Amino acid sequence: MWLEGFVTAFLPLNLLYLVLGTAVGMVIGALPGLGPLFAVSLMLPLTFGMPAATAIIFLTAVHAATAYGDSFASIVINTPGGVGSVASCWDGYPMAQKGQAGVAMGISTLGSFLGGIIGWISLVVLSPVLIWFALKMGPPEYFMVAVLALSLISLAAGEEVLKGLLLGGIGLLLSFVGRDPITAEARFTFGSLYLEDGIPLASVVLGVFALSQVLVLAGKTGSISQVRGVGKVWDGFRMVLRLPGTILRAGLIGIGMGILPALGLSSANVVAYFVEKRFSKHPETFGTGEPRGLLAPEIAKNACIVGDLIPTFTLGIPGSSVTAIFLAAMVIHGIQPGAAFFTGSGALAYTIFAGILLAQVSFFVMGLLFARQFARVALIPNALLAPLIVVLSLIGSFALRGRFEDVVLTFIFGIVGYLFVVFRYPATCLVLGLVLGNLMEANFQRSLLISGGEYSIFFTRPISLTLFLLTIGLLVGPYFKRKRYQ
Amino acid sequence: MKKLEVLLIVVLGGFIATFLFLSRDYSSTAAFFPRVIGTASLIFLVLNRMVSGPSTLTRRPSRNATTLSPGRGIVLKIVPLPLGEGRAERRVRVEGPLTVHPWIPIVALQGGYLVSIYLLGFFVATLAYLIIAPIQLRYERRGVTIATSVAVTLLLAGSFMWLFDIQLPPGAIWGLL
Repeated sequence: MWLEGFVTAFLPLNLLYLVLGTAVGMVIGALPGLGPLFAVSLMLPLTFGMPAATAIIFLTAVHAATAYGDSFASIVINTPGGVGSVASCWDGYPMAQKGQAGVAMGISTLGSFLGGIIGWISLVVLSPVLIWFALKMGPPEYFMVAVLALSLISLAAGEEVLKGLLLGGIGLLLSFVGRDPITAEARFTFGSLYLEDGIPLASVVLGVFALSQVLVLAGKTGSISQVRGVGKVWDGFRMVLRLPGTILRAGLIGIGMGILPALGLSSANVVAYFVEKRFSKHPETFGTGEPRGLLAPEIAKNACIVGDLIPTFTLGIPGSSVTAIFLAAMVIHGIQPGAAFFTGSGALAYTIFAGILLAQVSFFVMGLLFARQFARVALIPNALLAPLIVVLSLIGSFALRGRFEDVVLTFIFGIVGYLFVVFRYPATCLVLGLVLGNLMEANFQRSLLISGGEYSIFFTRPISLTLFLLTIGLLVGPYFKRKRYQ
Repeated sequence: MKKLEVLLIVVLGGFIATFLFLSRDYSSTAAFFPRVIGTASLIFLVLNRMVSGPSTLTRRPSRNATTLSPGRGIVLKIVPLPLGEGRAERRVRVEGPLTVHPWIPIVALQGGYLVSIYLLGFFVATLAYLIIAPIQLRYERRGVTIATSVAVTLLLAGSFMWLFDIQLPPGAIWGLL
């Protein structure tokens, strides 16, 4: 079956769409704000006339390449290509400033490829076990996962703990705007229909990180790269191969976040970054161009997007909006998701699996060819680049939902983000709060509904209790470690 | 910049207070988290001011600040003096050098770009913005600026309209003509 699957995947038509999907995905990914959701939903109608396997291979290539391409803008111009590559800015951009944009692109290219391969192995080998684990997770466990991830705020804040906690709180409050997840009551909308959908994450991220960056760049002469050069892509490869622990940790986080519904790309890269920082012996180097700070989110991101496909293929449960489109594509092309996908579709399942693997190889090869060219953007004069970032950020914010209000929101958050930079408020904490708020609140309320208002539900279930203890350990651990060190 | 930080804190505090105030109208389920998080945020805000308040007063100017020499720009500052014999006197004093933060005109141009996208449409607004903004940032190679502006605008407008099939803002003013 596997051989048949690979032979079919290597048919010229499939390879042609694989390359086409990769190219389209990389271009869309490189545009600020436009991530895999935008790319896959845009390309879905084009697959209607294709054979089933070709369609899924094409969409998979678009999906993987967009996630990879997202990092270009993050590294070179400090503008997240999508919500999945926010954390790639934090160490990728300082590397570009130090004249190592090419090295950073090398780390991103190989890291994304390895993440994709880790995700693919999980998809093929570990699916049944991982699905068993995912099905054990209920609302109390999801709540505890959100609390665990929120505990990373203290780490994200660095030296400005109080400012970080404040912005984490503001981020959470922003996530409460819109319909209440349980009662569907409109909250903090001021009667505006626009606000009933909630605050769009991409618009906030583009404002806080990209537009604020424009104001910073405008105050400086020269280019982003402070030295005339971008370094070698191969040096980035060498750095990656020296960090097996990071690869493993970030890969596991990516798969875990991918499999669990509702947790996904936006949280995987951020969580992987802070976990890596927590494990580091020199956390103070993070944010200054630390290769591990770039590698971890890159691996987690691509492991997550393949991990996301596991519940979609095996259970027919989409873990995210992107995989919901995959599910739609499967149904449109007559592919039955769930157990029947493996048993009833013959070699098709294996062709799709082979296609997913080839998609990783495809963006890796294209990355090898073009990474250095993309890195050279860091050499463009700031005076010419800053206006381009403004245009790309605003158009990216608009294109996601076609709403002008999103553009205004990006503009407002650009000003606020600049003030955060000037007065040293860690904006990453705001993003953490905004990403995790809904997950935390919805699952907290659901848990209480299940238990009839008993808070003990969070501490009587083994996985939930373990996650709680892990959170306590993460919060208290560094204190004891410091005390012992003193 | 001190005033700006105060403004930021007022905005953040006002934002939290609005959430706390509005949450009074919601059901207990819908109001629970906003109240808890709002209260905690307010406490962090107050603690932050108590802990870091004095240090921010002595913070050095932002690295984005540009210093204008007296020869390049003389600024007249009106300084109010103490009241004397029942009337207020004002004296005009010449001061320099002056620290100017360049971000306000840049933000103003961005705001203008935003408004012109709405009024004139993406194509015209972007072309104009990409020509004006580098000049504002003192980029002197006009040929490169114009060529880049035209190329980027055409590339973006073309790819979004024809490749991605996304309707970019056409401009409200054209509908009125």
